[in-house]
Amino acid sequence: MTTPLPLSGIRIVEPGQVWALPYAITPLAAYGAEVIKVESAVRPDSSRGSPQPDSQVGGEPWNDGGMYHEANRNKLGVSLDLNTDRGKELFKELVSVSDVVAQNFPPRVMRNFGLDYPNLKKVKPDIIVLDSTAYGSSGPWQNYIGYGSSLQAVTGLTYLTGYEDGGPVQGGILFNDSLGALNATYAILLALAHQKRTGEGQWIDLSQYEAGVAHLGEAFMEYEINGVPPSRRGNSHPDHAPYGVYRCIGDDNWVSITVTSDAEWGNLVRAVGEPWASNSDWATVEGRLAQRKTLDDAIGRWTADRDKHEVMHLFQAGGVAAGSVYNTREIATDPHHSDRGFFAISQHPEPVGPRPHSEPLFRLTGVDRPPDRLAPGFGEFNRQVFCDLLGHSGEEYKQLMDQKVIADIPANPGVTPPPDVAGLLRMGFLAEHDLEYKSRLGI
Amino acid sequence: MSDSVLKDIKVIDLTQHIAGPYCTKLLADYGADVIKVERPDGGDPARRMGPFPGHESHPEKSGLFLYLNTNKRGITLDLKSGEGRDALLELVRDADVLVESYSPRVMPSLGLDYQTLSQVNPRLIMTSVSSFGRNGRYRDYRASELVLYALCGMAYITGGYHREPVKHGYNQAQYLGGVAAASGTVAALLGLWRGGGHGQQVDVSILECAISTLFTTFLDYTYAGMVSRRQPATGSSLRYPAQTKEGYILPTPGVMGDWDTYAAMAEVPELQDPKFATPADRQLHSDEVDDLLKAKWLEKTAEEWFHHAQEWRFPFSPVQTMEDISGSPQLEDRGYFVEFPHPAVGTLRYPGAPFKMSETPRRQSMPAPTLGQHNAEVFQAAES
Repeated sequence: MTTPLPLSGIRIVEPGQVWALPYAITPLAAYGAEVIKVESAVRPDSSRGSPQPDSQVGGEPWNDGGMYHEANRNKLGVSLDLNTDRGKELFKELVSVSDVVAQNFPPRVMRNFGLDYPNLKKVKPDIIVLDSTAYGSSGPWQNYIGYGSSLQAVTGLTYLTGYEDGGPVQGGILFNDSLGALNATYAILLALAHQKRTGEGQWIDLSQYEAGVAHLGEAFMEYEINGVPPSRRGNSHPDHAPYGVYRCIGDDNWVSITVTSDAEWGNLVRAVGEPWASNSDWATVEGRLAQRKTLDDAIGRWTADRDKHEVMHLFQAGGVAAGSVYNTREIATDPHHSDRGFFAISQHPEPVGPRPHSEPLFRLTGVDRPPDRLAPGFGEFNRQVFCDLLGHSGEEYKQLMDQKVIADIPANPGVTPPPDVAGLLRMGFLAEHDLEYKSRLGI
Repeated sequence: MSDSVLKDIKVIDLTQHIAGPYCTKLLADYGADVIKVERPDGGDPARRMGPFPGHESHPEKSGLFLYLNTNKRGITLDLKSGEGRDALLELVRDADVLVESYSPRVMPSLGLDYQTLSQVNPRLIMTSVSSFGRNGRYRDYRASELVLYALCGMAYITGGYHREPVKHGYNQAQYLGGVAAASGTVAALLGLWRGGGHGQQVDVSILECAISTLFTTFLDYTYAGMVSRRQPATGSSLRYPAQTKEGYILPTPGVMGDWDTYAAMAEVPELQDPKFATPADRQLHSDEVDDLLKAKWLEKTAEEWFHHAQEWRFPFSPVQTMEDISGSPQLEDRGYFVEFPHPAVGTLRYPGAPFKMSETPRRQSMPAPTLGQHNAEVFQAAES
């Protein structure tokens, strides 16, 4: 039995930028919320421009960027200059017919516009407002700015990532944007539940710093309990061995292997089927931990002339946790994701063409979700929202365009030039430039 | 029990380790009545995972378990016995939600698949969070945090150019899976309340959650065929943690809009030389840029650089340790940490709410349950 889209009838206004907030709204739009993304009529969302299809800049590069497409599917998009009085009025009109406002400017921005929670609550008493900021809307650092990479450092994650014999390491520049987005999604759903049960709105003050520390709870507890701040330990695990990545045949190929019980070690010994693995010292976890280095070397010698995928599937068939160290090409073409339909192809207009996009991270299996609608072009829904929804006349609409309160083309697109792919490849920043990627993706 | 959003929502919690318990913690901290069901012989394996006071393992003293199980009641049941299964079905009868984090074959093997549970309670929402999701060819594969970090692509792009790929510290993928599962649960509740009348199963793959954290890198492939990898050290003074007089700073230039301002902020006028003007120029002369900046960063502490750069509106941040975080003036000012007693470990500080809600704040009414702590009250209530 299928149930209706759980968020149908909910309207969300999203002055969000880049990833940490727009990506929080993606699943809400996928499950039926009507999302109106509000962008500056002057300088659009800076994620609009990248990456460009085949690193070629087309005629409207602000409509062609992959990041923007991924995070903004199923949304309506309008452009509005909030620096103008008329722009602020229109924003309030939108709020007056909406349930949620979610945004990620630094705290002073919406305050300066007079569009912060206390003001929006006057317009719509049961409104839910979520402010997603780097450090929160109060406190000595409230006006400090931070991107995903900054947050990774300040939350403790960078210090705790890296090799035992090396310095702190950053992993993935947008990691904490996604982390913040997942938390923002949950916060909004909770507030909608409260609104549904009581009719009350509220203000959500999301500090990405605080959300990030919450995901390192046991590291904080380690310091709290024993008074010593934990440090980096590479891939190793304090309680288990083997637990690491091992080199395989080919250039920069690795497989991860982790054994978390003596029974699993027995499985590994059987899967390997060679005498070296039957070393009786390694039958217990104490023995394996005591000889971690010798054990890792022995496994590494065995994997060195084997294919990583073969090792993964051989071990998994025998009951050992193992996984190839995938690059992005291997993720995009892994049949497990096809089995689950994690990626579905959307048809974008040229020059973008067909591209795969992902399913929501939580799947409501009783809901029949319609196919995705494409992310909106810049200002694409201006007329629908300002005229059809808010009831302004065609004449007013023309005036707004003339006064540049709204726009169809961004005054300052701010599109980053595409990367020099050959140069990046030559200097070692890329593993490969796959010219066959479209056929591999079936697009 | 104090009010919060999910007041009166009854959750049967069959989760263990990290992802599932973090999901039910998020539900419990925001008001749900979560009944954590543990096996009688030892309970949740997280009870045997550190940190422990004095590094001595004790089932009631795991810092990980204590953090992940706040505000839950705890009972013990052997789900493999007929009696245990019957008792569970009795609990499910008037529950709103059941969350489980077993490998997907386990619940059906216990005779507790969604179809069976929904016959007992058609309004039940069943949230399943697993490493690979409920279907697909790796469904029954084994995983660990490291294996997920390998398969999600993050390890391949993290670490030294010439060294092995490395995962993020601790259990990041598990936490992401937990948050997504909590979202799915509340989304399904909204669906029920908005007129569906029927429960449903929510399916979360921790692997998919981890993949979502590198979508920008992923889209470089699906839009342009570029396959990223661990980066060479060239130009690292602008991208990587840099040693300062005390601690490390992340000297992020932001959108690189104005290089001259960056050079002025960093107090390195040599960098205003036209030969460093564009990103391509700086790439070409990256050794010089690195030498100049790395020497400069050593002149102040990380904390001094942080405040200095922020005054100039550059998003620098200090590479903080848990000691720094414990003493963070920003977290202190916002009352982030919560402090409460537990019978086995006494009073400790814990990370508090991941976000602040003005009308329905995170509650703190109970520490994590001891094994079987609420057996009597839960089973008596079920009988009456």
